[in-house]
Amino acid sequence: MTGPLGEFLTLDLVPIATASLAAVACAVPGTFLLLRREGLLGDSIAHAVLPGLVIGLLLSGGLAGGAMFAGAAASALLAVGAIAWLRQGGVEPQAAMGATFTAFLAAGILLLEGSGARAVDLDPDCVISGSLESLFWIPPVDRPLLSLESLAALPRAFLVLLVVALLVVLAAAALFKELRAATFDPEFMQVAGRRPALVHAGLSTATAAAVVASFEAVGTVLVVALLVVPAAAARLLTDRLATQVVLAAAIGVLGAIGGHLLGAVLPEALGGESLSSAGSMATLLGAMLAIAALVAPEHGILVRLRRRRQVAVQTAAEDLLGWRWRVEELARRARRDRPEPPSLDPGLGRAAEAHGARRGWWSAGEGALTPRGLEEGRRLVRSHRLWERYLVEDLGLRADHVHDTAMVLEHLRSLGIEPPDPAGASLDPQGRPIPRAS
Amino acid sequence: MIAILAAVEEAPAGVRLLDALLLSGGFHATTVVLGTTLLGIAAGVVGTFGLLRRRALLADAAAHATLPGLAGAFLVMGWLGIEGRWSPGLLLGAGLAAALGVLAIRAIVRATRLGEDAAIGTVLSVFFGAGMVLLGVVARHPRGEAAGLEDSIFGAAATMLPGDVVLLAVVAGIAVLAAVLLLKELRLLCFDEEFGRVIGRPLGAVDAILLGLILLVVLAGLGSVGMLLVVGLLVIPPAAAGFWSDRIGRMVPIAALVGGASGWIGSAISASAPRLPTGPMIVLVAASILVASALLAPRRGVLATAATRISLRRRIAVDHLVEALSERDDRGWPLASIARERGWGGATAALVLRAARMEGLVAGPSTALRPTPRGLARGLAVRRNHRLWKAYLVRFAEVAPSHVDLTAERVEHLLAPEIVRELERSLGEEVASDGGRS
Repeated sequence: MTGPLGEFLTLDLVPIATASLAAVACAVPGTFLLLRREGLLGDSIAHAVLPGLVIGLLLSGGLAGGAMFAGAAASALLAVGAIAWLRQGGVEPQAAMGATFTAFLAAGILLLEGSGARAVDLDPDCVISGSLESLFWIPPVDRPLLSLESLAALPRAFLVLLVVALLVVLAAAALFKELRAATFDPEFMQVAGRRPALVHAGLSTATAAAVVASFEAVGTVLVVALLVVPAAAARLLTDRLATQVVLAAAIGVLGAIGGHLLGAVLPEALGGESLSSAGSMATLLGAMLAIAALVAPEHGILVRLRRRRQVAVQTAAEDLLGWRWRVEELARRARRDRPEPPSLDPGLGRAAEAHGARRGWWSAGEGALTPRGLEEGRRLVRSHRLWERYLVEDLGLRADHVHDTAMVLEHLRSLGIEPPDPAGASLDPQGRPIPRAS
Repeated sequence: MIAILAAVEEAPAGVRLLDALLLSGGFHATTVVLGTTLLGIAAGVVGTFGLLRRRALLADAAAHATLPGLAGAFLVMGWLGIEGRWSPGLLLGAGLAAALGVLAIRAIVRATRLGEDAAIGTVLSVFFGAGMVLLGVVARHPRGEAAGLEDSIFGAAATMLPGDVVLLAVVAGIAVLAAVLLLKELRLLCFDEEFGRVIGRPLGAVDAILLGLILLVVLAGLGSVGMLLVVGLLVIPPAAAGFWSDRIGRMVPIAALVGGASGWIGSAISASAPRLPTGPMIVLVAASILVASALLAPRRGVLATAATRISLRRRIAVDHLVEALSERDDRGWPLASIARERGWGGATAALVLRAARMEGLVAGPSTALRPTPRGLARGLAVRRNHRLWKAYLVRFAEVAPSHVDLTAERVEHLLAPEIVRELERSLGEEVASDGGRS
């Protein structure tokens, strides 16, 4: 097949599909690891597979799948064991991981350089950045694309990942309840007579399998990115575990497709040469996480900022209300002194004015309180003075120390928290009358 | 120079190793050995504080994050017309990118619900991925003599010059000086940050200095051990030091020693034979020291804890023997009957008897054992402890009387004299001396 479509099928489809499968295989264990705050375990495993991979390569004498796969998996499990051993000996968890994976990585590089395996066709750079660019698919010309012969021409890395991704997804679906229990409440699971440790071991094994299968095609760096970043983004977007797993896989796949398009296809279309596919996938995933962190519906930074601003505006409006009510109170009692107005910066002041006008406490542009404002203000000042009474008489603070605290506590009204209200309390510590409840 | 190199090439590996260790392996080998030793010392000192502050893998993220900085600085300098390999410029770029990575980790931890593991994994993989993309751009840059950039991924100690050794000496000097001058503050930062803040120490500034030192060591290590393995030097020596002491004043020099020795021995081994890259060799030497420490360290090592456990088990068995004898009349009893009661095999029983004889607790042939006066006293003491602990459990811990025997069976051997006195005081003498069955 020729033309742009044929080129896409030959050069781009397989890298995209392979990276997408890696994304799915990594996102599933990655989500659970992240929830257990063990995201770095995946990172460690991704670095620790190298020596086993090289030994497998040396033993089998070439890039034959089985031995390398077994070696890498053995090496990953050995690393998990070494981390557990060091932690048991009292080494801090992060240090145990750091020590283990650097030692394994060092051993791997040494084996690679020292044994001449480098000459065969594995080199350190390839380990880091993967070989997505060298995956291609040349289906036999005289066969339909979906025939067995054509599919058999797919690269081995793709086929291995297909199997592993399928297994990981099926295992997660079948053991979903156990995974959830072991992730969120291992003690309960233990008490209920199940074995959370077994589930954790299974999770480590699944992580190792996903890493080992992905590693050769996409490289260490993208494996770490696929394990951590989509799961992190999904965690920001939803609280439901099942949704989180699916979302993480979807984000990973999106990053894989988009990354290849941006890194390899777009530069070529613009007449340049393609950039590192794995690198642009990782970068794109980072950008997607940044966007998720900003705009996520419940936990996003923007939402949280807006919520904080709303609280600030409401607090300022209530402070304004309390001040105006006190001014009118003094005027009623024919006093000439006036309380200090709340000091608000101009922007917040305007927003507070508008907030009060919306609530019907005063009309926009006028200082006078409406009947509704008088009622609300009375309740607010009552709450303030009751808090002051409580702080002085029940907690024993000095009368001239409680005003600022009461200024904060009075705003708890909006959360339904009211001060203690003993019968017969009629004056606050400064001798001002406490307004009646109604 | 060439003649020296040629001579070095001809000597057998063992001689060359010895020469390199003794700094007589030729000018070049000596440079590398000195440089990596200084780096190891600096990393050991700084890494100890990083480890105790539970920031071991922050350095890993920072190291990975230098790659886009290096590549970016290369490109920027290219546009500005500066020679692309001007290394202060490259280091500046690397440092800026690493600092940016650390800030990104802080921002993620503070502004989102994600944990530090997710933040570190994200920054590490995304920054490195971006670096790979930029390296792709650099590779086809018109002034593309960029091969040197990739060296800093795995390190290329062979390119070390005397000037680099001077720089590394300065870095090591700064690290040691900072550790000596700021030891008090750093200790507070690691162990009791809140207390330090309350008494008004500028711990924010000290934390920033520590972070700066970590970045400094990372940058210093790029050239020789590379960005993937430099974290090994920052983590492994302090972890090994932790097995020998838990006092910070001792851990720091021990870690410096381990780091320095790793650099010294690792680079000497690397110089003694071809195809043994320096960075991995140094990390592997450090890892070997860690494993040896974990096995051999006097109190926390595996062997020491195993020895403690064995001697404890032996003491308990001897206790059981004299306890059993003290419960019987003094006509002399066969070892076999006690062994049956306790479920000991023949070999175990013989070992227990030997230990008891060595302590002078039993007398008579093994068919008619009698306790010596000392043995009788110890047996009675054990029974007394058992009864005291049981009474304590029933009276104060409100454990059902039918449930206390099992725990008392274990605790009776472990009660320290002062606890026994305390128990006697609070339970009254009558409990300990009543004639009831224990």
